[in-house]
Amino acid sequence: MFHKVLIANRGEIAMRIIRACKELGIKTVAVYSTADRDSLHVKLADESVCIGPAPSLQSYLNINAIISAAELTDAEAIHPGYGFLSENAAFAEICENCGINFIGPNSASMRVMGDKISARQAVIKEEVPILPGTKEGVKDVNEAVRIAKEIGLPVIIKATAGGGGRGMKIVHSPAALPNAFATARAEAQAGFGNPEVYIEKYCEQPRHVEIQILGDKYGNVIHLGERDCSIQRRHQKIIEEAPSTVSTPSLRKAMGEAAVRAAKAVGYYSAGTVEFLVDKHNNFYFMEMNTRVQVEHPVTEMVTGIDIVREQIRIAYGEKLRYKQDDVKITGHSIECRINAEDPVKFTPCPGKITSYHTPGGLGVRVDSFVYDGYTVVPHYDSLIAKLIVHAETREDAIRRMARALDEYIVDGIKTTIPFHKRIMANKDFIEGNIDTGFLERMVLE
Amino acid sequence: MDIKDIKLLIKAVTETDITEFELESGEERVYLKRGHEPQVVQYQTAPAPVYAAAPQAAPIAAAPAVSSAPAAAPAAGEEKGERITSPIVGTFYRAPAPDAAPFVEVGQVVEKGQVLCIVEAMKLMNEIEAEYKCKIVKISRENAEPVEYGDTLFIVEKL
Repeated sequence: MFHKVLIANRGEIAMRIIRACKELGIKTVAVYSTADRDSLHVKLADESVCIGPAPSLQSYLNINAIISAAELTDAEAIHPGYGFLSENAAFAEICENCGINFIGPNSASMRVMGDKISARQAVIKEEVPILPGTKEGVKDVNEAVRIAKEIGLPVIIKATAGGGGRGMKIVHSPAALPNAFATARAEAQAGFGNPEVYIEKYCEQPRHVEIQILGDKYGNVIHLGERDCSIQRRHQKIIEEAPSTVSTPSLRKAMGEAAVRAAKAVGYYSAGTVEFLVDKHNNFYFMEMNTRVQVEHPVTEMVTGIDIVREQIRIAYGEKLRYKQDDVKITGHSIECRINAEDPVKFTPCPGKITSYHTPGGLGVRVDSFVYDGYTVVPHYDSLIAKLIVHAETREDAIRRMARALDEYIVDGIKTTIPFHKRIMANKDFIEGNIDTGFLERMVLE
Repeated sequence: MDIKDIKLLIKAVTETDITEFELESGEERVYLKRGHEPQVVQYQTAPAPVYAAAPQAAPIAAAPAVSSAPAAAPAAGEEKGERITSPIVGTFYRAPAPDAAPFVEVGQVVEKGQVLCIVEAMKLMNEIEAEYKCKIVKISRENAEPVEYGDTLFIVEKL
């Protein structure tokens, strides 16, 4: 097993990775920006290296500094977490060239799946259903108009290099299309450095259901069931759960097998997630693949009992997958609430000092966080400060458990979205499972 | 002159209005200049055992034994002067090559743009330059020591 791993990330995911390493007897190296000097992941790791000032570009995205830190500390492997450099194929390649094991997929499969258009092309060959849409980037507005007519409105214009729910424009009427096309290209250029966009049929009120896959370096790939991430605000996930309320054993089997085919098609190993949209007739369509461990991986861990980060490390080391598809069982129901340091009504970021902190406990309650009593939440990075995860026998029990846990959770000194989550847990439509990606917008307008 | 004498000297100077004090004795010379706190730089004008006994020490106001440095002196671990810190993660080297002379020594005056040291990162030798004319007061790291972003490399006095 590795002797030392460097964690190229921060916050709660750095904590998660350090914990998995500790349990495997691996020494850990934390890297941090000057703003994160007091962060919990720095305190928990065996060693730490300051790699730059607060701005991400000069610290957590600073490839030279991170590789230097790995060489200085003799780290054999780097775990990139999520966000930052986790889906940066150039970084994965640099690690490969420097003889540092990158805990994730290889750079080639990252490249294919990282580009939405090449990803779609790759999975079409494997008979994975996709939404009607362009196979290549749309060159100009005339082509956009023609395609929209062919597919039928409404359509959605998306950046091929986009992600995280950004760089997307929905078009309901032909008159709005030329403007939307131009704006989408401009936003794509500004946000991702690449103006290329493609067009898809817009699935109204779909559910966002994704499949977790795990693959080893010997070609074995399995799926760990689905997660439903339909509760989103402006395309940012707020609540995730497993299993999905729309799932049936046959739908899970069909989607899982499609996801495994997609992964195998690009020679994928490590953890990954294949995202699908599911319409009201339970037809599913491939959206994209995320070539990294995801924020919401804990809900899958709770219902399957499989430690996903630990398996990533084992796979990277060269071990064979220890689970066969038949070994994977889904037990009970799990829900995760993303707790952000934001105003629970306006969603404006609220960094600041946490004056009093108390986490919930009890059966089936898990908190993945990096904050503590007296810690000052810094403004430079995303606002996620904790993930509250529950597991129970049924969805009804899980909702009650989450509501109970949210009531116990104290975070004083800053504003958090805990009150917002309490509202959702009490919402009739949520409790009955009538949710789709439009749910939150409607709830907020009530 | 040994360290006890120097400490007595510092105390004497800080208890008065003296801002500059120079003492030459045989082959030793001590120069004290007072800013916010007294700075002590001891030179040797000729090679000689460092603490040779001075034939006739200049009269210094008698002072009780000093158990600790005067309050105005820098606290342990904190040095007076400007800090030059590392802009990158890497390994600190004092000289351009293992057998070459170091770029700078303590007490040396350096010009703006002069190379102070190398921080090696990923097989690239990054030269760290002085951003202003200054005098090296302290070299804070050992040769071949790993450094992080923000680590102090030198303490200097801006000139």
